[in-house]
This record gives sequence, C-alpha cells and structure tokens, in this order.
Amino acid sequence: MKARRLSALGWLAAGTLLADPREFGVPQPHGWVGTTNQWVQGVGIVFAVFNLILLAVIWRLISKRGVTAISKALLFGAIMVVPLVVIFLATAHGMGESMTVEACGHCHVMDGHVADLKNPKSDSLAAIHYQNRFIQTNHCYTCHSDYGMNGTVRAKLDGLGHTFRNLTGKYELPLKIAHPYSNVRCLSCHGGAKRFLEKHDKDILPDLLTDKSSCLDCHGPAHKGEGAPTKQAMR
Amino acid sequence: MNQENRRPITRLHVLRLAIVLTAVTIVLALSLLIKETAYVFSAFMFLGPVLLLAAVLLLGYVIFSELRDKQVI
Repeated sequence: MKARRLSALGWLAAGTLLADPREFGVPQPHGWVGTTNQWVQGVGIVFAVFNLILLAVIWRLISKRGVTAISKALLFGAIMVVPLVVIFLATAHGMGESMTVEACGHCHVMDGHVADLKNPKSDSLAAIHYQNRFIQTNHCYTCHSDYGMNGTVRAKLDGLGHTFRNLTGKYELPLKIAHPYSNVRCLSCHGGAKRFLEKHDKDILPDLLTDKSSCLDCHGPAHKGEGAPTKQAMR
Repeated sequence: MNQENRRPITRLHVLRLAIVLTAVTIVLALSLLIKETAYVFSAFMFLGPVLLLAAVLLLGYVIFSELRDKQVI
C-alpha cells in the first residue's frame, strides 16, 4: 500500500516535469526535457513530500522510542537541511510564477486588463505587445518593472501591496498607476530600434529620457476595457 | 490549574513543536509549488522562513541543553 502511494507521488512529480510548456501549439524541440521552472517545481514537490514523510517518521520514532541518536540525526536533516532546499526551490518557483500574466490576473480587479490583452479587436498598447508577441513572456511584469535588481525588488514589494489592497478592498476604480510611468521602460526595448530611430526626431529624446514628455502622449492608451485607467491616470 | 498539576515542558515537547513548525512551512511550500496564488506566495514568503527559523532555534536549544547536561560545554 505504501509502495503504491509512493509510486503515485512519483508519477505526480514526473507528470509535472513532463508537462507541455507550449501555449501556442508549437511542437517541442528534439530532446525536450522541460523548462527550468518546471524542473524547479517538480524537484521541489519531490523534496517537500520527502520532508513531510521524514517528519512523520521522526514523530513516530520519538513517540515510541524517545529521542535516540538515530532520531537526532534524522531531525537534523529534516529541520535544518532538507527544508532549506524546499524553501529555496519554492521561492525560486514562486518568484518565477509571480511574473506571469496569470499571476497578475488572479485578482478579479485585473480581469478587464487581461481581457483587453487577449481581445483581438483591441488596439491598446498592451494588446498590441501581447498579441504580436513583442514581449515573449511575463508581459505585465516586463512593462511594469524597472530593470535590474532594484526594479525586481520594487516590483515584488509593489505586488505585495497590491495583494494587501485586493484582500482588504482598499482600492478605487478606475485603477491609477502608483508612480508616473517611466519612459525608460519603453526605451529599453525600443530605444535603439531602427524603426524607432526612423520615426522619432532626435530632439525629442532628451525630453523622453527625462520624462518631460511621455511615450503615452502619442501612443496611448496602454490599457482599454473594464476597469482600465483613463489616459491621464496612466501617466 | 494549579502549579503542581501542570506538566513540565520536556525536550520531547520542544522537538514535537519544532517538527510541527517545520511541517507547516513545508505544507506552505508544497501548496505554492503545486498551485501558486498571490495569497499563498505572500503567506509563504512571510511565514515560511520565520516558522523554519523558530524550528531551527528550538532544535538548537534542545541540542545545546543536552550538551550542557552532559557537561560537554
């Protein structure tokens, strides 16, 4: 019976590792073994289940025989070693998954934004970028975080604030961006592009770089649909 | 309940508490690994390391007190 349960858990973990990552029907390349995040998730589940089994075994051991040398050694592994691996893998997986559109769309208030992304009739900036695959993955996160370590940390802290406000209902509609949207986020991709350089006067660059004028003044709105901010609220 | 009826907290109790705290941390991690939501992620990031640290401190206390009883330290 125990062997069957363990085997079922093994298959569950293997199923996670072998899950199809392609959202758009593109066949997997030869020798596909999954993405890093899928491996982190699968290995993390295996370690977490192993840790729980180990803790249950130790609980029974110390209940029946008291604290022995074996239970002490197992305790060291089950409390000080294996959980560190589980926490590392869970954090890595959580950080990766929290950047996806699905993660942002978990909150009901974001439904309008996500629907706009996928609406073929929408001509909002977000929809154009999403539907043309101008951004490959993590579409919301890519445009709503600054670059580098500070940008990542700040985005995570902002996300924590969003979770709190969603939980407590402390927000107003239409949503308004918390900080002025920096042009640097747009220019990091578009800045050196041939099309951008051909279509924009060089004199405008200093104003864009210092945020005296906004990309959204000419290219907005960033989002449309239910709950989307007004053009003024996006700046 | 008076003082005499109260059961003393033994090392076994402390170790059991450490096991429970670790198990809660692992369950949080497991639920995050299986299906991530913003709430689970926030709960894990706040509670996970704190609970595990508490478990490690409890285990450390038991080890330290045992070594002191044996006059190793």
